[in-house]
Amino acid sequence: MSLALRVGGLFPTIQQALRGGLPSLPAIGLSITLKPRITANASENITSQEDERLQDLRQQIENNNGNPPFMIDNGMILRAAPKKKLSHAKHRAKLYAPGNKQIHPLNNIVRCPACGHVKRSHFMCMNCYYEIKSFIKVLKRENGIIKDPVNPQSDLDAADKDLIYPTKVDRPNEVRFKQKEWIPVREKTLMFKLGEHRHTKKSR
Amino acid sequence: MPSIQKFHANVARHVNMMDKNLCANLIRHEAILTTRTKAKRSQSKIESFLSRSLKINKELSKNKDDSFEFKFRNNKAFDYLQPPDRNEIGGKVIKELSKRYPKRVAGFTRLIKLEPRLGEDKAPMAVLELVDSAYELQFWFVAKIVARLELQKLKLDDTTAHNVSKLVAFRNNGEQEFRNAVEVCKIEFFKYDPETDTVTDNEMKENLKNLPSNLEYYGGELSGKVVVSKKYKTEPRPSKQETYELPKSPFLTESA
Repeated sequence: MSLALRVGGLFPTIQQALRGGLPSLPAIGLSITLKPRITANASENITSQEDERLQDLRQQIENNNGNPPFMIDNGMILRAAPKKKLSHAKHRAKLYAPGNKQIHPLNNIVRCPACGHVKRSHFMCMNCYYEIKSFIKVLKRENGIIKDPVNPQSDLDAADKDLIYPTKVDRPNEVRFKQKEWIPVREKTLMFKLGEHRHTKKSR
Repeated sequence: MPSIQKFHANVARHVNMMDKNLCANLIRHEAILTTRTKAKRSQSKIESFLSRSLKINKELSKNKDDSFEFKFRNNKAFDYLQPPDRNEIGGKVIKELSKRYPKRVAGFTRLIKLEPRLGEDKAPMAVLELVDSAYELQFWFVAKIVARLELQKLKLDDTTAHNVSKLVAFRNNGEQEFRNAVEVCKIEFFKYDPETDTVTDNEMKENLKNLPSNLEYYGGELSGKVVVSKKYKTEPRPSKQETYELPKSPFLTESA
């Protein structure tokens, strides 16, 4: 938003104003044309594209007899501000004194030999870990080590189910409980590409 | 303050109990997922428990009366466990683990480092597992590596070959079991069809094109040189059977 001066409210140009109001002065070769940004014809098209906040501001200016409002809020929340400036020493001590506060880059990223994804050297590849873990669980289930509890009503007939639980509908909290969105899920690892990582030693 | 002192005393006891519980649960489930500190701390305790109990068990089985009852009653190492666990864990040690580790004296567990836990604390995690079990994480991981290399038609590199030899060394019928595991891994993880001898999944075909950057380690010029020092020129140690002729001493008389 650019605030424009409202010069020439009565006269169309400054030259006219100078001529009419101050006739004794010689004509000055100065011509400032204040072109209105919003013309009458194009006003509808432009206002639709404009920001809502700008429209608000325009309305406020119009209501306030053409003067800008006392406080212009551009959408930011006004927060509490510190009373004193933090000294150079304190600022640096806060940020850098603990030594391990910063996030350090990982220099030990290698290619997982089992899946070709990115992994940390001397660590298990998390992609392979989840795959193998689920596979081992299946193996254990086949060998009877993991025994799933059987729901006694799992083989209930559809007609019986309607009769016993006629209006069985999950409530919103039950639906959310089944989705288990609160459990964080690890992102899938990326494929390893040479040159996209930083490694001090020569990669294999 | 007295309360702090009490707290310290309680922590020591708590730590001991935690080690015992982790020991029992590791033997019960073959593998446990814990934070790295706990896993590292309890690993030595678990190792000493297993080596001691298996050693005593070996001595007791030489006795005339080598029944289960006799072995279970006279094995003093089981006193380490908590009373409710003794029956189950002692039984598993005598019946199962003594057959699984006939030659092993130490090194019954393996610690595998994992990425930090998701969530608030970001604690570094680890898997503690019993070696030579059928549900070993490292065993299947190495089998998967070998399966991938075979599908990529590459030879084993030195590190993988070394890892395979370590896994197979003390396992009962190890080489055959590892071979079977590799074939299972091909089908399970790489969507391999053994009848047509092809990988069926397109995504997996793309994945298999991601080859190691230096192929010389995989059956090329650099194979067999990973263990060798690149900094110092070393020669292989001479074999013991070779005999060297010492030069004749000039101080000896001709008659002697």
